[in-house]
Parts: sequence; C-alpha cells; structure tokens
Amino acid sequence: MNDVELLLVRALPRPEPGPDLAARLLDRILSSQEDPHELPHNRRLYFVGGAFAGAAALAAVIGVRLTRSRRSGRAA
Amino acid sequence: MVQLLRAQSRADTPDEILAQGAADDNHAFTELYRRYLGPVHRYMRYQAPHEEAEDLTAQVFMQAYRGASQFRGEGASYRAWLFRIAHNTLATYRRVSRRTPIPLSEIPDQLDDAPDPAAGAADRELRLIVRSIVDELPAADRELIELRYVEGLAPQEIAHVTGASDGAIRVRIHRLLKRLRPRLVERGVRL
Repeated sequence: MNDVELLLVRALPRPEPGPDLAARLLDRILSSQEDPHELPHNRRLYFVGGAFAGAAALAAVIGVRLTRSRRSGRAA
Repeated sequence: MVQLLRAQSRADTPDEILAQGAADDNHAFTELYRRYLGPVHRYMRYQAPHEEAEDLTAQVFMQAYRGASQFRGEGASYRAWLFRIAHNTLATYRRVSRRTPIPLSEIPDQLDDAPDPAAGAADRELRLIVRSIVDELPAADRELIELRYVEGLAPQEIAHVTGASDGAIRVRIHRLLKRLRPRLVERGVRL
C-alpha cells in the first residue's frame, strides 16, 4: 500500500450497527421468510406499481377480447 | 454444551461452507449475518441517506437468505456475492430516489460511541480533510474507495460486485489515487 492508500484506511469512518439494530433487522429478515408478504417499504411500492401494471395489462386483454367478440358477432 | 460447541464450530466455519447450508439452516444464516451486518450496513451508510440504510440492509439480507441456494462459490467469495446483491439493491433504490447520502464527515466511527478522546486534534483534522475530499467524489468512486479501503475487498472481488473486469478496477483505483494525491497536498496533508 502506498501513502495515500494508508491514509484512506486510517481516516475513513467505520461505523458499526448497535445491538438493537442488529436484533431488529434479524427479526425482520427471519420473519420475512415465514411471511413472504413482509417486504421493506420501497419494495412494497414496486409491488403496488407491478399490481397496477398487471391490472392495466389485464384490462387491455379484456378490451381486445370484447372487441373481437363484438366483431365476430356482427359478422355472424 | 452441545449447542455451544456447534456455535463455536460455526464461528470457525468458512463463509462458503455456511452459505451452502444457509438455505435450510437458520443458524448458518445467522452466523453469516453476524459477520456481514456491519460491512453491509456501512456500505449502505456510505451510499444512501442514513434513514434508508436500515431498510436497504434488510433487503440485502432477505435476498441473500432467499437466494442462498443459488450461491455456488464459483470464482467468487461469499462476501463478493453478498456485496453484489447490495450493489444491485442500491442501483434499484437510486432509480427511484434522487436522495444523496450524508457527508462522510458526519458519520461517526462508532454509531453508539462518543468520539475517541485518544485521537489527537491533528489526527481528527486529518480525518476531516480526507473525508471531505472523498465526499466530493462521484458515487461510483466513493463506492470503490469504501469497498477497497474500508471493507478490504480485493480488486477481483470488487470486479465481481460491480460487474467490471479485474483489470478495469485496478486501472480505476490507480487513477483515483493519482487524482486524490494533489487534492490532499493542496489541503495541507503531508505525503
């Protein structure tokens, strides 16, 4: 290591999480395995976003099918 | 006693062996968590706002737990694999948030401790200068410095984390150190 590298090793902060945080996070992680719906809050946002996208796609498919069935009804 | 012996043997077990059992064994996973909570949480504190670091750290370990059976250990250490999950989690977070991390100069060395009284004023001053210079770097360079000089990852491990080649990481580190030297001298650091 050169002098700049040694300085970086010496000067940069190395915060350690406290025992409360460690216990709280472990509980959350292990309980998420028992309940797969337990997700961190910003993942919940992606989940909600995905549900909206899924609903929009479903509505589009239903719309296409209705249009097709109307057209085939007219042709008959 | 048997449990104590088991716990002792787990403490001596290499990461990669624990990782292979972590999918079915909570104790193996908990030992890996004990080893890497500090590094992963620190990585998030360097890269994301303080109040988000806890949530992002939880996401990393949830994915590591669910994906434990996917760890093969082929050409990559467990910690490189785990930091890759952290890197990807952070990338996803950044796509939805423009918030920046707090300056390194505001991160204490020990979260729950008062500043070290043994550290002299000159030493504290030197640390502040180095931290403020690192704060001015782009996020990717800060990440490189944190992984290399705080967590002690080897260049090939950082390559695995970031998806770059080993050679590219070595070149980036070399150039970064070259850029930092005059900035440190400018601020009065003797090298």
